[in-house]
Amino acid sequence: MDPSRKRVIRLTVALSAALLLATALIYVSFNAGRDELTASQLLSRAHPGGTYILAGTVLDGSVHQTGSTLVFSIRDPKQHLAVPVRYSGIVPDPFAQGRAVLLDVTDRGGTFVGQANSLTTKCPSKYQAASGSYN
Amino acid sequence: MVYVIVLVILFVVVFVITTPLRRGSEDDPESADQETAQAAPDVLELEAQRDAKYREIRDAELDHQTGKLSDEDFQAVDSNLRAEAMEILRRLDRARAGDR
Amino acid sequence: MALLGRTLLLLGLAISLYGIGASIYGARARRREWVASGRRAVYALAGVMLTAFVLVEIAFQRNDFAFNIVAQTSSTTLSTFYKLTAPWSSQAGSLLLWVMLLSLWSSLVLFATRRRLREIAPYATAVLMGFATFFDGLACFAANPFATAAPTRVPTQGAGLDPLLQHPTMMFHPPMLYSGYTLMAIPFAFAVGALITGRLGSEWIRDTRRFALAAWLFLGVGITLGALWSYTELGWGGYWGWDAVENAALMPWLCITAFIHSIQIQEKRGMLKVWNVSLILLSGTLAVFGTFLVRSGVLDSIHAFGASTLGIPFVALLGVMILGSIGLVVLRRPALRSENRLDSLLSREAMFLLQNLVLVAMVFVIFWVTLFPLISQALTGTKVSVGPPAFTPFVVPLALILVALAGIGPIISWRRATRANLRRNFIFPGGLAAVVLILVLALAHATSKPLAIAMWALGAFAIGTVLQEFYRGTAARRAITHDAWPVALGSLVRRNRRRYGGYMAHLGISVLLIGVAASSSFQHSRDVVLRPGQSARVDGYRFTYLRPTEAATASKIQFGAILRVAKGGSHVTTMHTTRGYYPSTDFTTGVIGRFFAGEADSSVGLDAGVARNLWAVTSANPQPLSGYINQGNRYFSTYLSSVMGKLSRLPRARQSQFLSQYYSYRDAAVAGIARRFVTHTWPVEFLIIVAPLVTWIWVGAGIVALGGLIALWPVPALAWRRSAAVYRARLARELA
Repeated sequence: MDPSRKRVIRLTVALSAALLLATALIYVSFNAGRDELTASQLLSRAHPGGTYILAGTVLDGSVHQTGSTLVFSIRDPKQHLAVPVRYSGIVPDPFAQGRAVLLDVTDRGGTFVGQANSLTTKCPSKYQAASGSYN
Repeated sequence: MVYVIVLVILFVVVFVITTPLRRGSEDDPESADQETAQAAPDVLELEAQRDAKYREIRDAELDHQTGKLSDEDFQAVDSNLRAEAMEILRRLDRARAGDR
Repeated sequence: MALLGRTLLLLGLAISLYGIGASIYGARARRREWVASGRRAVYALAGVMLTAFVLVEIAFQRNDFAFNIVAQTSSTTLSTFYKLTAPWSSQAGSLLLWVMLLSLWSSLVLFATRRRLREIAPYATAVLMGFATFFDGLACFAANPFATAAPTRVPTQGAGLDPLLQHPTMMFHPPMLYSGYTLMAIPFAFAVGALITGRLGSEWIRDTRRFALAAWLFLGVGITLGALWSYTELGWGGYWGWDAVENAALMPWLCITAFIHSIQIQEKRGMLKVWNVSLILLSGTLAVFGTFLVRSGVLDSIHAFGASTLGIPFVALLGVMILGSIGLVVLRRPALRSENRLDSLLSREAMFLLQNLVLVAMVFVIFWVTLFPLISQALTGTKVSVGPPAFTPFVVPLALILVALAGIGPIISWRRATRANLRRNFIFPGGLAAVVLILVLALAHATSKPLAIAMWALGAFAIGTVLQEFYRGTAARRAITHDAWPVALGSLVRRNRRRYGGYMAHLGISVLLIGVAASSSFQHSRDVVLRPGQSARVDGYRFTYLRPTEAATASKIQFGAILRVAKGGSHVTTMHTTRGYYPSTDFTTGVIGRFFAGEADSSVGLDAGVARNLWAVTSANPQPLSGYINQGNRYFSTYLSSVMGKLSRLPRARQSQFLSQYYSYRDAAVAGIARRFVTHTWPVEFLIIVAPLVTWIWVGAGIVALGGLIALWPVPALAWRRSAAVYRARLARELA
């Protein structure tokens, strides 16, 4: 085989591999991805029995422990609105009021119950909002 | 007190930075001492190529010793590399001669 | 002192701008004295930034709460060690650390190349000083580490360092990461210089290759320390969570890994020049992008981006870097033409090329999935979470190919390889892989995890090739020198540092990935609630909750548990895990309640072994004590308000005497309540994980780092000149 044809073949193989990877990636991310809702989006979209990903910051002064259940509210980053959540399971160390968190919640007819061990928090060391902003 | 420290630091910084300017290019010790400093950029480039080639010859020898290159492959690769190295050395000689 | 610091930052900015101007003018006008002056500006900047950083450290050691960053991230109760590490826990301190490290590394490279790279170096100096201008500018105007509070509003006590950051790895993890990032700016800058001047030959690569390797080493060590911190401090039991900040560091590391391989093809064959400059420009851009992801908070929410003072400048810098890089590469395309062609697909060049493609694909996957929430939010208004499950179907197969290539690469020669030789070299490692495969299938009943098993077999193959290489190299050396084995091995490695350092890195990465595959596929974890005396079974181990523990100090209340672990009736180990609570600054939680309501951190009970790790963490919390706490809150606040009237009429000295008495009673009450935790038998929740081969992840990373150090260690100039002289003499003979 002459070298120029070989090069064309190699290039074609490489490009089709790249194309395949890109397609799979886009397909997976759109299919496996689930909406990460803010508090206001959750309130407008939730139906009883449905499970959603709720993201936001823990409202100051909202964290209480009752029995083995942790009760706290998650604040909408843009609006003066917060959703109370009941959660039991492992609480990651960085969890604290004012921290950004993410968890799976199920709508149990008006109250939102967090799924066990679904609570994750953002790394505490990294991002610092300029004071007063990011509300 | 702070102003004194700031002034001292400023003085040191300005002194360090302007030293080459005050000396001028003629008696800059950094450019005047070694042969490499006198060499034209082409020479330096060729020297880098030569070093890489030496390294490559050594790698091929080690590959041969550890059984990754068969004897005849090694002969072929080695003579190629040597030819390339000689070409670089010739160009290096020419560049040095032209530089003087 | 704050004034001095602010002045130093401004002075640094002036020096950086001067350095850019002097270097470019010197290069354009061919005035060497201006170039030298620009280079000295970098040294001066390093001195000034180091001084500024020392000032910050002094402020922390002196508890100077007039400094905002000291008040926000330190306190008088913080130990000296953590006061040393606290500066880089804040935005402003991190930026200062960035500039300081950049100026130090830049000084080092410019000093090392002061007599070489005469045309490229001035432009590289200008680029490096450009980075310094940017980060110093941010430190001056957006997040100033020397910002102070008004004299009347200086707090007497600081807010304290986040307890999660009070971990030994935090001494080294951030400086290592930032060293990696800033070192990556160096080959980036020289690549830009080479593109501008059009001097794209071997010289700039020879002189900056070592810095690329150093960037790779430091960033890798930084990433590993972060994983270790996550495993031992965060209380979720993992070492890698595909978190955005982890990915931010991993992407440039993968990219620079590709570069330090493919650069060898350019050195040896003059090929892939466009690819190599693109890779290094991409690595540098990803390093700044990583800093941007971490520092701007853009991934927490797209809204944080607008709110953060750092977002817009970073995007501008990234835009300049990306557009400038593309422009330069396109401009110099004719000069970047390949001098050679790939001789054969069965050569080390071809393997490197394939490895490069796999690594770049990996970077692309990680980039896409990490940024997908942002992309979706920009497109549809709703953030879409993809999470860790989206990474594995792509990253795991790519990692398998990489490990296979890590095995094949060392046994295949440059330029061309004959099949017969290759077969001969395959026997031992291939056999080792087969043995491992059979053993795992026969002993571990692990057929359900084909990918993990494939990783073990391929890892064994790669380890086999490296061992074989060391053996053959040493044997060949012995044939010449007749030294003893260890002596021959030592001199072999010493004479071929790059080659054998690289092989060690392959060995280490294989060990590491074997550990990752085993611990992620075969870990058993259980979430259990136990009362003292009760036990739970995890993967054949019996964990018995013996008794609760408690320790109360002024700065922290710890609740813990002693766990006894047994297997098959025989004692394995006893471990202690605690959860500590720090006082809250929120006074609405009550006089007593405040001490139980602050931030918490875990101390993990860990029994690390060769074959498996036993890991347990308790989430013991003060909830059962809430009755006592509420009672205490009521009692103390009622008492204080009842005596308030009387207290205000007392002289000052008596007042403070009274208050200190009151506080000591309060502290005694807190300690007393905390002690109830051990006198009762409340149920406590535990997370227990039994995972195999975790230790080998750290061992593997250590081997990689050692390999990197060996490859990086400078060859004594004399030794190199001597060996070069031998070749010169031989070639001269042939020339004649």
